[in-house]
Amino acid sequence: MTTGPRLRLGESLLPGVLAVALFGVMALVVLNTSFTTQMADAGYPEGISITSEIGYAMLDLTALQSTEGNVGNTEPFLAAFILIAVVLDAALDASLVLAKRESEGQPVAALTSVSGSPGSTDSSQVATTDGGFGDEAETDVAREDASDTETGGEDR
Amino acid sequence: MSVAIEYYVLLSMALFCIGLFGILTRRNALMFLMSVEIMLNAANINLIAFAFYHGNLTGQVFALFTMALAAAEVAVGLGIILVLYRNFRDVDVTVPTTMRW
Amino acid sequence: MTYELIAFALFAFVTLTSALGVVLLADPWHSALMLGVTLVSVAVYYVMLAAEFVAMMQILVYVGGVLILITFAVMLTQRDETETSEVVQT
Repeated sequence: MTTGPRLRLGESLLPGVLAVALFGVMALVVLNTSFTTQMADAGYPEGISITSEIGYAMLDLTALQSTEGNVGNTEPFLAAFILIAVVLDAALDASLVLAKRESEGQPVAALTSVSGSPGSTDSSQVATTDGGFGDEAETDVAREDASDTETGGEDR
Repeated sequence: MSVAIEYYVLLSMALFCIGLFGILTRRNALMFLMSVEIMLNAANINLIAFAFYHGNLTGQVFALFTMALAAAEVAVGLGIILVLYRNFRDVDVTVPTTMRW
Repeated sequence: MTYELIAFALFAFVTLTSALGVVLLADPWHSALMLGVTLVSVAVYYVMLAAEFVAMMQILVYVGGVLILITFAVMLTQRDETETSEVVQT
């Protein structure tokens, strides 16, 4: 089963040329740009804790923020913090909806093929992602296995 | 700053182009996900490098937000990939054509 | 100073090589391993840019979360090309 790493080359000449050309254009842009901020601004002042400054910026605690150097110019980010929290919640709900399986052995509505998909030729046999190939020889217990895998799908 | 900012920008551009190349050439949906991760990392390197260059912490905070967003995107993407595999027995992105046109 | 430049060049080589490995290797599992090498070596730049907290979050979120999820997906979907020939008629 273990195979050595093989490279997968061929049929990718045009995207390769495209990517290299894009890199060439962007490198040209960068090398012709002069980054003329004062070099004294680079880096952070000595006596501050960067982690706590990140925390102050993230939670809008501008009163606690250090004013040394340019650190005081850090923008507050509380609204973005809340938005990211909402987005993570939405991602959790979306992955739950995608992982759910409906009770008749039919897949959920998202991304269902209409007819003749290669996975759904036999209605009593659900295409599972886990252990789907093991129980295909016995047709009499296929129903039972299908119900088993359905509960597995619910768990996931 | 002992390493010039141009080197970091060039590195992140090279990473971005590698990710773009991966998206353009592969047909496996998992490889799409990994290439998108590489491109997000390129953007993060840029953010951190410019945060250091300007001496304030906006880029670092924004890089943290980007990482949270990448984690959410991977969670949803893996759900989609598992549903794709369950319905089509394949993760090839050219197989599902019902939503095309 | 020059030591930092040498370290940067070394890790840039590691990052770019493993990123090319991600997009060029045939097996998705090898690609996932190469993605792990890429993510860990990107964390090194964050340490060099005085962003230790972001580097730690990079390790925790990407290597500990995203890479594990990708590994799950690779292992759950990997056997279609190796075992499809054995289960054609059912």
